Amino acid sequence: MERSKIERHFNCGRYQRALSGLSENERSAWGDTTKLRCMRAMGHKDAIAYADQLRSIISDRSEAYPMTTSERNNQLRYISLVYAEQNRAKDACTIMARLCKKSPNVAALHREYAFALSNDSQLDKAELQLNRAIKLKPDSASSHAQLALIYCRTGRADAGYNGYSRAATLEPNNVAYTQRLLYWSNYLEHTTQQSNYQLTQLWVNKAFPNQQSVSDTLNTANPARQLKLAFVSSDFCAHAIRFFIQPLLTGLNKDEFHLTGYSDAKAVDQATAAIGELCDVWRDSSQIDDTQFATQITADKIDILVDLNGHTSGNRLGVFAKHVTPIQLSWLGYPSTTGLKSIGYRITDRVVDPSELHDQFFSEKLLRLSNGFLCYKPLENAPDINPSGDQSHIRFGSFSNLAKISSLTLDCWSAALLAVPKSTLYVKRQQLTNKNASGFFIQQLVDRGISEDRIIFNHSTAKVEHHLDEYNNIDIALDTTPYNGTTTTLDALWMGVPVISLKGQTHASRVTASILYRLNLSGLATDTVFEFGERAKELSALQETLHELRFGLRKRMKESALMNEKQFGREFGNALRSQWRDWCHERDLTQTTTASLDEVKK
Amino acid sequence: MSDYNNESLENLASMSIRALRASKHDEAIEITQEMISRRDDHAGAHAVQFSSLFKSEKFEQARRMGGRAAKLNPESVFILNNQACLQLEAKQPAAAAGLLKSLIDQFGEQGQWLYNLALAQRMVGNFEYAINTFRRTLDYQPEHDRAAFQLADCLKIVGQHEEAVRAYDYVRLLRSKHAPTHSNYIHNAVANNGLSATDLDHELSLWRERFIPNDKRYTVDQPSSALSINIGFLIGVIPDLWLRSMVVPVINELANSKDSISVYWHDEKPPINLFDEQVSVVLSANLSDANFARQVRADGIDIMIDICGMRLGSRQRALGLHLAGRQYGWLAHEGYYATPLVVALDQKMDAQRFYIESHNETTQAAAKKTLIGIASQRGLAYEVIKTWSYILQQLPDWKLLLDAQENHIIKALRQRFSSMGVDSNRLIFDKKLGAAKGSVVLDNFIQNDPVTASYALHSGGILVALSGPLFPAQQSAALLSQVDRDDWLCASTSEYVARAIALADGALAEPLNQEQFDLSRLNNLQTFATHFRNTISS
Repeated sequence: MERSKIERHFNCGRYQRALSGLSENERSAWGDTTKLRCMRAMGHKDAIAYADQLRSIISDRSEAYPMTTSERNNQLRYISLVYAEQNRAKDACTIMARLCKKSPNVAALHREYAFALSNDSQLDKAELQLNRAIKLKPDSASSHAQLALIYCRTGRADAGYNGYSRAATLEPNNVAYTQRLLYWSNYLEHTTQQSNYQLTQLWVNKAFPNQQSVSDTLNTANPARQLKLAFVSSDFCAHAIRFFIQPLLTGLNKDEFHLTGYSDAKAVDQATAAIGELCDVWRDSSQIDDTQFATQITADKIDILVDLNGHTSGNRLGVFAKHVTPIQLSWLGYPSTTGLKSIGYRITDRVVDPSELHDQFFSEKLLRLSNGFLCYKPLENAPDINPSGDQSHIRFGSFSNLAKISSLTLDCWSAALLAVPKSTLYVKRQQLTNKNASGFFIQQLVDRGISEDRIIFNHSTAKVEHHLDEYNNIDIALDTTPYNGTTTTLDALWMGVPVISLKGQTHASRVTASILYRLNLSGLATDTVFEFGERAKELSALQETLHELRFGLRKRMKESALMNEKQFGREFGNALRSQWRDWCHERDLTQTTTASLDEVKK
Repeated sequence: MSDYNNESLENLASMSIRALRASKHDEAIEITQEMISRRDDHAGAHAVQFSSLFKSEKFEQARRMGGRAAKLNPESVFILNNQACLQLEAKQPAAAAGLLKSLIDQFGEQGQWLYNLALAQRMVGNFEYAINTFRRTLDYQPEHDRAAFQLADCLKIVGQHEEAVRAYDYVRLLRSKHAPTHSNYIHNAVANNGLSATDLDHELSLWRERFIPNDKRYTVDQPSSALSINIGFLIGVIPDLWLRSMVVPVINELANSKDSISVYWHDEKPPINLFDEQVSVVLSANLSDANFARQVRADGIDIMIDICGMRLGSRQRALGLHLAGRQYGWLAHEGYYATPLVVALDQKMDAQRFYIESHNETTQAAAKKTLIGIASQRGLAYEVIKTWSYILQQLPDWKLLLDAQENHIIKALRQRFSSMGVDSNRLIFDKKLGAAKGSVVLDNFIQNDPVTASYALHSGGILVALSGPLFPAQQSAALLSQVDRDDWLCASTSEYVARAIALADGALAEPLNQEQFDLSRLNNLQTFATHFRNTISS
């Protein structure tokens, strides 16, 4: 097959045909590299073995064909990319470091080296390489986007947002950049609901300009029958989502709902299996495209489809835009609107989304459950709660994602530290190994008058149960804002550590308030930075209360709506049933009207 | 006209419609004129005449009779909409708004009607309504770039700076290849703490890569004569106070020497009675970058001083062509330029960075226990409001005097301080009041204003200042250095807060006296102009 034809197949994503074409041709450097690129793009299981094979040929100089330096380097780039993607980041770094040294003025090499370094958790070095790449080629959208992600991961979400903005400006037709932009806007304190909604609308306009086909389902419109309810997520694995999906699946009435799970998770683990067992049907949808996925859902005759991703990475909003089931809704995974008209509803509650504030900024109709929008099932082997250690000073702490630690969060934390002399702040996050991240936080806190010796960083990557054990090292957890902790907040409370929060206007900034409300601890959700500091001071002074909370919070949680699977399942199910009845009613009306019109025509 | 005398009104109506449909607009106008002369409330005649005038592009005539046509045809979308547009063009926003509201009430919201309504509201100064309506427009048409731009502009005007920066960024997403949109975003982001130093570096290199043409045709040699040089000043839209106190006096002083001075005026409003006769003023706002470069070259400018940066009127593309032998940025810029061909003059001026003309207005001393917050005329960045609020919370008996004068800015400041827990009765807005000897003066540490800061220093105020990472936040540091008060500069936000509180609690600080002020040469025009000229020509 001609080279140009093979390239065309590759560029159009017809990898199998490109591979067939390659197999007909004589081996060449270009052919082998293209084969590796095809295998990489397909996520082929043998890609890494093939990369190893090519690498060994290159190092032995035993090629069966002549190879120029440029061809060799190009092949090495792709070998490195495969390594970086498939848990061989160190090998990838070795290759790329050499290539960058040989050709220091090629921006793409620095960018790819940065990719390998990022996957090897060497974010400082990756940042350096990306800055080099940008200096060499300032208009590379992917360099800006890659750097933006590093900024976000290391707690500089403002700079991250600016980077994504540059990427989106450079490639306005690349909807992924606009989507990243709106996703990260949730982390910024200056994002208003209006600006987030506006960006979301822009993304919808770009991604689905002719959106969104209306469901033309053949499902029976019987308001009382058992409904086929399906959940779609790329996080059905050892991800926070499991703590919330399991109690829901357990709590739903199986006579009323037949449950299907569509897993887009790239990694499969024990959590995946545990969630799968709670479903009547379990399907791995990670290897099929949106069209195939939509066909599968239609074939499964799903009545209600629930999205658990929103605009987070790995989402399947493309499937939801096709409106494949009569009712589609969004829940839990994303704190703002999806923007899709085809997603009709969103499950929430009155504290996290007060009606007068929020309705206009969601394209979905908000369905508010009476007892909270989530139900939590903690880790079964969570460690015991230990008594507080040295009572002479208060230990504040946060185990939040660094991206959530905004400038406003640091204001709150500083207010708490300044209000409680001698207190310390314990921050645990693996990314803090990177000096750019830890240096940035220390400088931010020092600027706010907190001396460095009061800040303790822990960057271990412990297993989740050991991670929970770390809560035994703190007395009071400090929440992040405007993106509150969800699992982090619940984990802290489960470990007997009260959480002080600052509530804002958006869903993301009111999640902890909703959780605390269920535990009758609304006083810990404050309204101003000043109040945040005052609450920290008051709570710190009440040693007895802290002690009571430490050993009473678990019981309080167990008895609350937060962990009442049956109640939550019932409320969730009732909300869906009610919408299903409405849908049946509307469908009846439509059919009656159509029938009457037909009669008139006759 | 007489041809139609014998025709009935009904026949004339049919004839006029036929003429309109056949695009015989003059004929249609003539027929309808006859109809109106017979019956001046004939709705159809007015409708056809309006349409004919509009379609034959006789807009002013159409507008003059459009009001009556709209009244007689209150359900005609064509008349209401087009008359509204004509009224907007004629700067009659109130009339336009009435027509657009009527349209929306009758037929529901449409993006373009909402946009025009918002424009009308903006023109009458009803910014809040305009902001909401521009937002509604974007709900219908998220890619309506003009609505997005107008929204950003209105947000800036009312002092909602962070939202404005985000909105300018949104405009950039829609106009990704439009250089002025990028400049606008960069300027506003820098002025409001929206970009880090690295971000700015990336933005500028991206700007250079995308927007500065690689064209050497305009490149000019070095200055021809050291004795007499042609100096150009490129002035964009900069704060009036800066222009009058720092820029104009220096230009006029330089014009009295052997040098030839040209001012390239980039504001659409022409300068009136600003410059001396010797100064040649070129109104260049409407010139393209290439034509501007040609003009500068034809004028034989040896040294170009840019007082604009990325602000409205930015000429970075032209400066990137190297249109003068030497190119400097001075005062109103972002600290760095997209092109390395422009050097920031401020740093080169060393210790004597500013000349600031003394102001004649006298103010009364604010009451005791009043902090003086300066440079809030165009609103304040969130960081400043947050810090000042914190200081007020620590000093519950104190009030804060702010120098904002526009009502919408005052309203926004009250709201924003209130959201930080500061009661609005603790804020004072009174232009007759100012700093006195020993007053605690809080500097706007994100967007410094050397002019108001020098006025406060001259009045004996103790300036609490903090230097930031970007140029707009480094002016006060330079000013304090010039008046030999480097020790007043705080190293961090916490030190800024602590110092303000300590001063309020009675900590001692020695204000500047007249002798020290004179020594600083802040108000010695001749010395400054000589220094300025030596620096740019050395």
